[in-house]
Amino acid sequence: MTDSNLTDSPDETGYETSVPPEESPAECPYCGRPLESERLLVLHEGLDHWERLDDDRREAFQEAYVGEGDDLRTFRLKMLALLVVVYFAFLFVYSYVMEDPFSSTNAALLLVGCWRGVR
Amino acid sequence: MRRSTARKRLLALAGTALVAAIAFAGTALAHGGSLRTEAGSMSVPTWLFLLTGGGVVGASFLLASFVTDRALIRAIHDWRRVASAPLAGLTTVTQALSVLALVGVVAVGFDGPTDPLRNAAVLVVWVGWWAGYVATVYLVGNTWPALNPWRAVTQWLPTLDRNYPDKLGAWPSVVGLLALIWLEVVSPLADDPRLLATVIAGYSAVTLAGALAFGPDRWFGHVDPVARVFRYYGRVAPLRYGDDGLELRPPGAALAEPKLVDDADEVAFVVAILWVTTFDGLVGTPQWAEFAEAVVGAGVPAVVVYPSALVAGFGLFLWAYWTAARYSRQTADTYLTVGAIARRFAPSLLPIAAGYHLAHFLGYFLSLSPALASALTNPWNPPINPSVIVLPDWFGGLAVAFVLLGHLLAVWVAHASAYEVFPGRLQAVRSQYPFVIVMVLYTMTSLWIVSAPSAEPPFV
Repeated sequence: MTDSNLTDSPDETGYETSVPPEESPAECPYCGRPLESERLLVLHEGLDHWERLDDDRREAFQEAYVGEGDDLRTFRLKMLALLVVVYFAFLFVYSYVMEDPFSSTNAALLLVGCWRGVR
Repeated sequence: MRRSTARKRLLALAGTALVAAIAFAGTALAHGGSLRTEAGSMSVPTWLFLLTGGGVVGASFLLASFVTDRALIRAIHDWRRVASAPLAGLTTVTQALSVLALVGVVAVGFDGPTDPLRNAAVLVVWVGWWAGYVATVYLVGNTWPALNPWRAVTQWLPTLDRNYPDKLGAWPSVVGLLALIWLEVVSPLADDPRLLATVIAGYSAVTLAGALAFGPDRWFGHVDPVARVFRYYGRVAPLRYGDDGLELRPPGAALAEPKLVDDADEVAFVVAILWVTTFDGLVGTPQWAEFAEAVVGAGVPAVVVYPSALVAGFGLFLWAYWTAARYSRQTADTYLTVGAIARRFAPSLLPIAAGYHLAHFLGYFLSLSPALASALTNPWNPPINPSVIVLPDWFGGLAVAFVLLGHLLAVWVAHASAYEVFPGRLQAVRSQYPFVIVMVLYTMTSLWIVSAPSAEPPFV
């Protein structure tokens, strides 16, 4: 991480970057920002330099953008699973703390109880 | 077509889940967190109350990560309405009025009644200005440039226009902010009108001298901590007055713009805003009193306890933020430097500070506003027993809701900023992991402070 350069910013996309010397980044031909992979370069070009791209690059961008969908779907499923885990973890902790560990109506009771407590 | 309906359903789902999460946490927390006076009646143990708060912020990050449509995020952040508003002529009037108000505050501070609840200077500064006016800055818009009495005076006078050393950057305002908060915490600034008037006179002298020497733009743009706090808070607000006129945007949308925070000194200032609001609450907890007494008992002079805790805590907050930025560089697997990441995401901390401020001061403002009104009608001889509104119990729950709302807006702003910065959408979400962990820890800390019983800070 010794080689650091400040990319100039023709389109307000200038970011300070530093590339490890042993890596060869994909450099954006329009703003000089080094990208971590060819796929990210295609995405970056489409997002920040759309007006300057030819049809091939635009098509490549659209493919790459749609291609992100698969990864995102898996990711969202994981997040959903995590949310469910968090939700049930809280449900169980609350029912344990409210000293009625086996009642599934605890959540509802808790809400009603809190509401009355608030009043 | 199928894609778009699926997206709508997903959004509806995410929206419902978010509302449910807020409602669930809101009711659970309202019970636990009714500010200090109510803390004794908590039926949920504190650790669970804090965990729930942290859980809400974490869950809101998970929900925000479901929004992966760039067009949608841009549409939300680019939404704006502009109305031409010829307000420029009005500025002279508002500035003249606020100079008069400043002179009035100092005069009443020196010469008015000594009871703080009857003295208009104390009430105007703390209730009217620091609690009420500051809230309008982040809820409505930054009107301070049109009011700033010191700026008005220096604009009317010839200035020396000395060169401001650029390498100092925003650091003088960081030091100034910490110094002001130190003064506020250790001195009876809210109880002693004479002292308050002296401090305002001193601040005015320093500010006027500095602004006359370096020119008002330099001084209020770089050095003056108050103007900088308002400028940053104003970015949270939906309204902005610019060249086009009055511009309306979604709250927080302006925070996702690049170049708002330009350098490490400005990152430090944003973190300082967050830290001083936290410190202000922290010194009022019994744990702080115990800690301070133990430290002084061990032989440390009482005078150094507050300033060193202030600086140490600020260092800790800065370290936590920069550590998150460093890890973010790894989780996002990016070539951006740590500094570039830290600068880009610093503005997303501002809604947290605003939410915390509102939680702290809305109740204070509402309960003391009748006293302010009666002191203002007759500053030299206000009624003997000013009336004070007693707030209902549920108001403490509202405070917790503000803290959480600030965090939710922060999570969203950071999400939108990440989508602007990183070309890969998963990369953008991954960049947020370390920040979310820090944010969850911070939520739990601030909820702990908000719910702790009140204690008098010792040695002040």
